[in-house]
Amino acid sequence: MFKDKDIRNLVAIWVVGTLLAFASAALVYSFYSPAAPGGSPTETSPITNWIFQPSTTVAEMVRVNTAWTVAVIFPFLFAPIITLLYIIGRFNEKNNPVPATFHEHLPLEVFWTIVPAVVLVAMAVPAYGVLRYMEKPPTKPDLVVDVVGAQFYWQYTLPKYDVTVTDEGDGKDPLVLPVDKAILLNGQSFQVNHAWWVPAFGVKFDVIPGRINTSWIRTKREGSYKGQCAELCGTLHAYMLIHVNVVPEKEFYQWLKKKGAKFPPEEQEYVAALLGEDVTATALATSTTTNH
Amino acid sequence: MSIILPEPGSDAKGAARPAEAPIYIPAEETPHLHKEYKGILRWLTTVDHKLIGVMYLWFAFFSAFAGGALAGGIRAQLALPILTDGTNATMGLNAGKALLSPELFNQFIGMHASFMIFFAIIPGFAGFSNYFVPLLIGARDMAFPKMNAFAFWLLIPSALLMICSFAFGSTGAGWTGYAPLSTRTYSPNIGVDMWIFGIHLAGVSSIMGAINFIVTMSTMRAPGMKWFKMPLFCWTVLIQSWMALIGTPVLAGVVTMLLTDRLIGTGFFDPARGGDPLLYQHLFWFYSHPAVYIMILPGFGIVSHIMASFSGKHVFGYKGMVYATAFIAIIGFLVWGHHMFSAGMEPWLRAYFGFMTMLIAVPTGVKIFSWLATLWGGSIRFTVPMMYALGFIGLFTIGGVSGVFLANVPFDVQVHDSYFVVAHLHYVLFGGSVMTILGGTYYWFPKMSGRFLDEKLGKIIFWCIFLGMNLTFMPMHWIGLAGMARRIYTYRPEFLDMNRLISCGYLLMLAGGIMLLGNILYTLVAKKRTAGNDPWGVNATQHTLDWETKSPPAPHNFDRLPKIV
Ligand SMILES: [Cu+2]
Ligand SMILES: [Cu+2]
Repeated sequence: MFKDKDIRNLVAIWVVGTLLAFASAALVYSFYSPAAPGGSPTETSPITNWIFQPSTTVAEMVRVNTAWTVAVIFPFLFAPIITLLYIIGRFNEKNNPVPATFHEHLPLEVFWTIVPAVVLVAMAVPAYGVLRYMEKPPTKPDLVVDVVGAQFYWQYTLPKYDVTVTDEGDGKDPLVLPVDKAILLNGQSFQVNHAWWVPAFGVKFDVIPGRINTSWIRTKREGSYKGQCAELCGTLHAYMLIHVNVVPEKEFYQWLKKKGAKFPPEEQEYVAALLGEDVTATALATSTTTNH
Repeated sequence: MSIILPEPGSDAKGAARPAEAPIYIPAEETPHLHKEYKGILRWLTTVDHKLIGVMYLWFAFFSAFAGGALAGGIRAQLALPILTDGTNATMGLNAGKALLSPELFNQFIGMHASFMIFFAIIPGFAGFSNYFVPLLIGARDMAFPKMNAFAFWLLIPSALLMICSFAFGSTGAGWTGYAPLSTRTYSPNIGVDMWIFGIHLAGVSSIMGAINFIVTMSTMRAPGMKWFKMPLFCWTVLIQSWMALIGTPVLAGVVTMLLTDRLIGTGFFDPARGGDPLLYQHLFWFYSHPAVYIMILPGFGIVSHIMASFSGKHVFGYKGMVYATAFIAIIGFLVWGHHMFSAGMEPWLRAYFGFMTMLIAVPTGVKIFSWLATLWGGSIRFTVPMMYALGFIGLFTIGGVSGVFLANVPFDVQVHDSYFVVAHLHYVLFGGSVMTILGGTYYWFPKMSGRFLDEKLGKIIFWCIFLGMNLTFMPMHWIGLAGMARRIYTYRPEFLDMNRLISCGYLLMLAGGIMLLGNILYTLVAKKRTAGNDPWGVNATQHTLDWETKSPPAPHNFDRLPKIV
């Protein structure tokens, strides 16, 4: 039924082709090495993503998991396409004038039912590991941010410090987060659906009226990150750009202070030591008034 | 399987009659013979499944051009955008200078999808199903010919409602029409209500068609045609019809709830009144994921016929194909949540929907491997329909593999609502559905019209569409991964080059489409009817009934009802 020589040729082409494809992909990928030193994105650099610049723990895990998925699934992308090309070259009118007559082969059918199922399990198991990690926010996050999507801007509230910033999509008032901290994000909306998406953070969650969608990240790398609303929310959906700066802890507190934060008493001493300034409520009140 | 056409001396029921006597055709089986008009009235009054099928195909063809024109607007806007890099975005101020206003852009994307889904792909397959299911099972017509005509004519007001809705400000909430954006507070235009009524009518049409096909295939198969002797195209239409019958009422229900929310304030989707916007998404996708299979299964059937025909073999693993199709249909109803991975749901539900979605890859893989085994060892003739079928395998495999990636929940969260998803769905719906419709058009054109479409020009058209398709949708994977959201009318400057490339791909496809239209019109007007019963010369191997009758067939299809042994 199947001529052995053809099967052997096909398998050889498939193996060599797949290896070559992976090798060249690895080459290209290393060429665009993500971990280039000093590679923190700035305000003017292009948008970054989880493939080349993973900037949270989740993004790193998704990157590794995706590489694994590519490794197990791509041979199954190449197999039919290479077979198809082989068939086009080999089994045409000219090279094979008399068509074969087989149209059944039960063991073969069982084989190509079982093998993909096994491969899918190999893909699913690690993916569920990542999913569990994504879905288990730390019980004691370092920082809680309430993310509110509105037509057409993002509003962030840091309840612990009573600070609210509004990102109008112009990047003038970005959200600032400390580096290497676990941050809980509570998404809400009071009008229509939006979705908060920063590709380099490996996170996206819809904000939907009537519920709070929680997500979390652990920031790993400083820099200016960009994202945008990922759920159609009306005419100016395209302008709901997201800007997040991830900065060292000291800068983060400086930013908080500038925004008129009310530091909780248990933190005041620590912050004062870090900034070398008094951050008690009264001191802040005077400093903000004098600043104006 | 082999076909026996009864001796001229007897009819299907075995009653002897003189060889030259006219065949007695029971009137209730062929109501279109009651009264026959000429010219345009003939088309307007016909209940002949073949004429209705042809009308469906023309309707689908022109809708595809309308939907394609909308896509052209989208691509023009994205090739010449006012860029925003987040530092100089000035909100609505520069919106007026864009080629399309953001309002219009959002209406274009919603209507592009609505048109392509409800008026191009679904009616396109309905056209082939109407024309060829009765032929392939050896019936004289559909079970309910008048309902068949009614189902078609409902599409006209449906399409008119949607086209006219532009005049009143159509839906700016995308074809998905998510609440609350589509509720009256945020979309006050009556164009949205017209869009909803349009979906209602299209839904009624599709339910009627589904019932008709199920009954026709259940009761009107030729003597001796057991279920497992039915050609694969019929099987796929049968299974598709069951899906449409189960799913479409849910879509009708959810848009009706939206309508009552809008018009009489029921508050199904309004949290302030105890409703839930997420309810809309669950109900909507309960139909709209299966809709993907409603839009592809008959295509699976068509390419099975084409591949077997032009490789000179039988379809490999016929029963496996049937079971795989049925399995896809059943699982297809259990995976709708994969459209909502970022919308917030119970952790275990995300795991469940991800798992079930991966499971669909198994029967889909069975189909792809069976097609390849059909071709393997064959003696392939590279006719135009065969080229579409071969192209389909490659493109659909790519769409299927990106679908497996999307079943991987952590990955899906990254690319959800990005251009990656746009790429994926177009590889499935264009690389899958549209390629099979075009393949079917070339394959059955001689049967439907008695004339051949030009093979040489057909190859040029194929390459325009095939290359244009890849040029358009392949780069979308990349810009989606890089972080470009979908449904945006302006974007960051780093995506400009890719978007211009994509728009070039669109032009290539457009050129192919226009040449195809020209070729079809020219062939119908200027070419002579030359096709015999079996114009492709494939039926010595295939033994399907569509090639056992004249091209085009007589109104009653078969002079003598065939018997299958
Ligand atoms: Cu938005
Ligand atoms: Cu789906």
